[in-house]
Formats: sequence, structure tokens, C-alpha cells
Amino acid sequence: MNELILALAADYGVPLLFVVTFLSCLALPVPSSLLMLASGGFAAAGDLSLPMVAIAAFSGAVIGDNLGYWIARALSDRVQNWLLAKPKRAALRHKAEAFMEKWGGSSIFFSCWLVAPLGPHVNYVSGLSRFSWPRFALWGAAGEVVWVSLYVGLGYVFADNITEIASLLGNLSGFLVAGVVATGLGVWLVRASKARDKRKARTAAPNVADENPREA
Amino acid sequence: MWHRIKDLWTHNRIGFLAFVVVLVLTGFFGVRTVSQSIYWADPARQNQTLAEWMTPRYVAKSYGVPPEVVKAAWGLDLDSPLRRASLETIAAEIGLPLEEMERRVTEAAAAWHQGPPNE
Repeated sequence: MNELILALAADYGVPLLFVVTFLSCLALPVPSSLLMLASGGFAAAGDLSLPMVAIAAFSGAVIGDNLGYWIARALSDRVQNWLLAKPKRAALRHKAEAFMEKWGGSSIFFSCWLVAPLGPHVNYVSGLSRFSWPRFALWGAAGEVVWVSLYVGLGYVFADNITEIASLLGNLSGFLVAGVVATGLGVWLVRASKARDKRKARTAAPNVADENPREA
Repeated sequence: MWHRIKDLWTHNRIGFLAFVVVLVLTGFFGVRTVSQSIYWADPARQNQTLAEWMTPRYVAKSYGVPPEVVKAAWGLDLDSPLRRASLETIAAEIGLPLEEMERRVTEAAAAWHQGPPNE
């Protein structure tokens, strides 16, 4: 897949970059980072125009982000009843809403570039939890400015060796994404375990009859 | 700590295993990032092998030579400007495999960097 899309870069240049960043922001597995690096390299070599490369990558990403948000938001209206039917689902939804209320802006901003593989999923969660669209759009656009500048810029500056810089960034991004997911999972697991301890302590207290914790 | 792990193992095994896997992945990518940065820092290893996605102008930029050197090395028309085509296309046109194109451009670039022969 990567090789195939990269092989099209020379022939289709800027329009291809627009399509690929657009699709990658909808969680489709296309090599957007690699293509931005290569396009930056082509711009440095004089095969493409740097402003055009930046504009195409940026607009593709922003349109993709917002489309993802609105798809999820439209879905959220439809599945509203389904989500609220069971207390467990409703609780999950409220948790997502509370999380987005507290961390929404920074999650959206950083998921656009620092942990870009998580970006599309944050867009979907934003839409599903009906996070404010102006805030989403603003933080998202700011994040995409960083993402595009970073990758196109690195491709432009390190045009001498795109292959190396691409694999280096791939590993670094893998490290960051795995690290963020590990931290999130770890926090969630420890919290769940602590909550179990508390419940156990409560049920161990005088009233032994209440063996099944109600809020589970 | 031990108590916590035991609790997670009994009550949340899948989540716990997922956590371990992601932790291992974090270490894996971390080590690769560092080892690769060290490897790449050595200037002797910065010669880029040609790939099908590259363009002739990009190759010239990568090898630090003017486009004319690349044109001459591959026997392309010296009068027309280099167009934006992938090496895959160029290779098919001039009938040379990528390895041979790389050999020629490496030689030509080395000669160019040495400067014109003194006569």
C-alpha cells in the first residue's frame, strides 16, 4: 500500500497529497506522513511548489477531520436512544462527554500531529459526544498546521534522505502512540482495580448480605 | 504492586494483557528510534539508494549534483528539462534497471564532486 501510493506521487503530485491526507483523517490506512515527507522533498528538488504542497495537505486534513466529526455527530443523533437505553452505555457516554469537556481541546490538538494515528478516532469521539464544533474546528486546524508544517518541513529540509527520515519518524510515532495508549490503559486498569478494592472493603464490613455491588 | 497485578489478572485479564503488549511495543519502538538515530548520525551511511517513487530532480538533490549530471549519467536528452516522472517510468523508458541507474549516478556524482579534471 505504502509503496503503491508513493509510486503515484511523482505523477499525481499535489492532488494525490490532498486525497491522501483527507482519507487518512477518516482513519483509512494510507501513508499520509510518508507522502508529506516525499512531497516536501520533491518541493525542495523543484518538482512541486512548496506552498501548493502545504495548502493541499492542510486542506485535505482539515476537510477530513471535519467530515469525520460530522459523520459521528449525525450518527450520535441516531444512536442516542440506543446509547441511553442501558445504564452501562449511558455511563460510558457521560464519561466520554466529561472527558471531552475537560481535555477535549488538547486531545484534539495533539492527536492531529503528535500522536497522529489516534487523530481520526478523536474526531469520531468528538462528534459522538457532541463536543462544540467551533472548538473542535479551531483546535483541529491548529493541530493540522503543526502536522503539515512538521512533515512537509522535514521532507523539505531533509530532502537528501527521505527514506531514512521517514523510517525514523515512523518509529518515533509508533513509540509515542504506544506510550500514550499504554498510559491510558494503565490509568484505567489501576482505577478499576482500586474501585474493586473499595467495594470489597465495603462488602467486608458488617452487612455481608450485600455481596453483589450494585453499581458494577 | 503485586496485589494490583493479581487483581487485574483475575478480574481484567484482557485489559491487562493488552497493557503488557502495548508496553512492549512502546519499548520496541523506543529502542528502534534511538538505535536508528545513532546509525543515521554516521555520515558514511547517508547515501540514499534509489527507489521507484523518486524523480530525477529529487535524485539530483539527494546526491548533491545539478540535474544535468543525472541527465548525462542516464543518457537522457540534455536539451529538454527534467520532467516530473517516477524512476519507475524513466527506467522503463531508458531500459535500465534501477541498480544500474544507481551505479551510474553514484559514479557521476563522485566524479562531479571531485571537480573537473585538471588539464
